[in-house]
Amino acid sequence: VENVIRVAIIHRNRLFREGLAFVLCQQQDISVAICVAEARDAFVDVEKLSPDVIVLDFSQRGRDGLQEACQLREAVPGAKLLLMGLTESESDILACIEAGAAALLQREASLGELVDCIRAVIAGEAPCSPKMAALLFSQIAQSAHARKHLQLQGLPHLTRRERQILALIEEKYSNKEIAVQLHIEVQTVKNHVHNILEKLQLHSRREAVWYARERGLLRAVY
Amino acid sequence: MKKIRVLLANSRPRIMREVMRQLIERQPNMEIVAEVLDLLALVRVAKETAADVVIIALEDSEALGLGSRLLAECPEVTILALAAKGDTAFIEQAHLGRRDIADPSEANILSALRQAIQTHCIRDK
Repeated sequence: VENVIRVAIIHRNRLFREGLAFVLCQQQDISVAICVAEARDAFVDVEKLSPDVIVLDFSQRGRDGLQEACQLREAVPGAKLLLMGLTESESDILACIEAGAAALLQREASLGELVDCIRAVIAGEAPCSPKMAALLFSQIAQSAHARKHLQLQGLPHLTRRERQILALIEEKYSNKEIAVQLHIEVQTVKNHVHNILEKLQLHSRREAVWYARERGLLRAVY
Repeated sequence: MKKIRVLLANSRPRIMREVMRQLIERQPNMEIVAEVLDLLALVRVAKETAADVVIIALEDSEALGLGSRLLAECPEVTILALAAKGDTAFIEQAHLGRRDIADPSEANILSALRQAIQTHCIRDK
């Protein structure tokens, strides 16, 4: 069959991942290229085999899995990342989306939904539950409101991530510590810091923290 | 040939239950006789369905003392307990006690289960 979707499964439960691999291989348009317990076991293969979709279990990894997710996306930028086993925690959902997930499957999702989700992300869709959609609507509205408010005050707009980073700089975190805290790469932190200084037209982290604190830019960061 | 009657007792996420169900349904000599989500009903359903095997989450089996209660009430049952993380599995029978399954892959678990049932049948004869 042409256009077979090549999937990588990363799940610590061996019985589950072997069972899932079997079920996916029954689909005419899906093949399983990689089936491993840990992301670190997949790096060599994901670069070599370039799967179209990476199915990564979130339930047993929690936020530690987000760093792995970021690293996998960097290793195979073209692959769609599907995180499964999420609870309804809003902060987890947002963190997963920020880590670059193409789709999220909650704990009570069915096998059929997982298969549909794999096909959907390849078709360029981002399937999500009504609750996730509501959360995203609310985040976008909040962000737009904050931007408008700052524009009215003549202040530069900082994104939620930039404000998070500024807040951590205020707490005296280093770039490396911020990267660990936010499950992103150190280079990404450096890029954010560079953008913050450019937007605020300042030259040091200390100046940026002082400036943001004085103007209330650090309020309600999370 | 009589099929092995399997009862799935499962508090795991839905997708894991479905993968487990499909795994059992693929075995020609096994059939699922019931699936129990309410673990309080487990012993009653095991009796009603005359299940040969009860597959249960290891955490539930140990934390709730379900394994020992089940074997006390239904000594003919073979318990297959699987850890949520997938790194541990064991078989437990009333007369033989508990045996861990080394390297709990799909093939090893099924093989250990078949062997346990066979031992049970030989002993019962």
